[in-house]
Amino acid sequence: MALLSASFAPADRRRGVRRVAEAAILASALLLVRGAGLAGQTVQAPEYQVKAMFLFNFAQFVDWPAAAFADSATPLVIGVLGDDPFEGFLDQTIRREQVRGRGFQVQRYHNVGEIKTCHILFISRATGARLDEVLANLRNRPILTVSDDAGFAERGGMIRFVTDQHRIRLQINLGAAQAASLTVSSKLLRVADIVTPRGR
Amino acid sequence: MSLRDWPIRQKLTAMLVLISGLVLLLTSAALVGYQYWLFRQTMRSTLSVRGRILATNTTASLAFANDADARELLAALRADPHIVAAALYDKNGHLFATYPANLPGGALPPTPGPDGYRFERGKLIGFQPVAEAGSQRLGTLYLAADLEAVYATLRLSGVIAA
Repeated sequence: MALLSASFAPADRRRGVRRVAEAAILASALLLVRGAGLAGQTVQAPEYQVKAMFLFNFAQFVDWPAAAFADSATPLVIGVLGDDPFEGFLDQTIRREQVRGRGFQVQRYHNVGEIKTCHILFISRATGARLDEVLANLRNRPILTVSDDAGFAERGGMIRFVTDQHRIRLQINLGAAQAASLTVSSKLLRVADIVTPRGR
Repeated sequence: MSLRDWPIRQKLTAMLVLISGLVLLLTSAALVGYQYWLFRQTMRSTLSVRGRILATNTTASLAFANDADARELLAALRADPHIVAAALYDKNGHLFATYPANLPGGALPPTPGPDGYRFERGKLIGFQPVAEAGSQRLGTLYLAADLEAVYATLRLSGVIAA
């Protein structure tokens, strides 16, 4: 037995050493991967944090007709119709922000009838079936309508968020925006896909 | 014959020649120096104008995180062979888009430095804020130009002075 253990011990130890070495290699590989990830700046922000930022940024690239604001100090209202998916990111994004001297305000609506003064309106996906009715109600009012609902831009909405491989792209229905007297900056159009509704 | 034994006339001529030579040398040096300084100033203002134009155009790419569009805009810098590197950093200081595509690692500052244009380590570099008028900052544009144009001008004025 003593002989056996004597002859097996080195092999055992060797296996132990190998296991430690393997663990070390694995650990350093993991560290490397993490490090590479950091170096590549692949820090992923939550989807609705990015979308909240985009909603806020629209204010810099869209011009509203003068009649859309009571005066030069009137805040720009970002509305959310239906369930709010932003988990507070929208309020966080606009806090203390100003664009061209204007502050921001977030309002939440349960139905389209509640919307009085609103400049950018995010229409929650849950609105789904009632979307046509909502859009018909808002037609030609100077409200930039935004949603991530499939087919939103084709159905008469203005801007749709399209999630494509962890990136958020924009689809713009320029005709709908122009009909509502909104001027979309050519710089915004550059980074978006322009959608023309069928049958028009 | 030592200098002491020169006739007075020759001594005077030698002195005149020496003084005129010295004056000519000083004037040429001042002229070359002024040209060098002027050219560096011009180069800095040209790069800052270029930076401001490019920054105005890249606002939407940063605001809507479209890096393909940002790279396309930066690629227009190909028109100036003296611009050796360019980059866009997002609002959080993360690298967002670079020019040229085959830039070796470490050629760009990992995070943006203080705003402004300055000569650093044989290059003219600039950090330009990117923002829409009257709105918050969206990111930073970095430009780096080599000083070949300055050296070429300097060589030319050196030749002319000589």
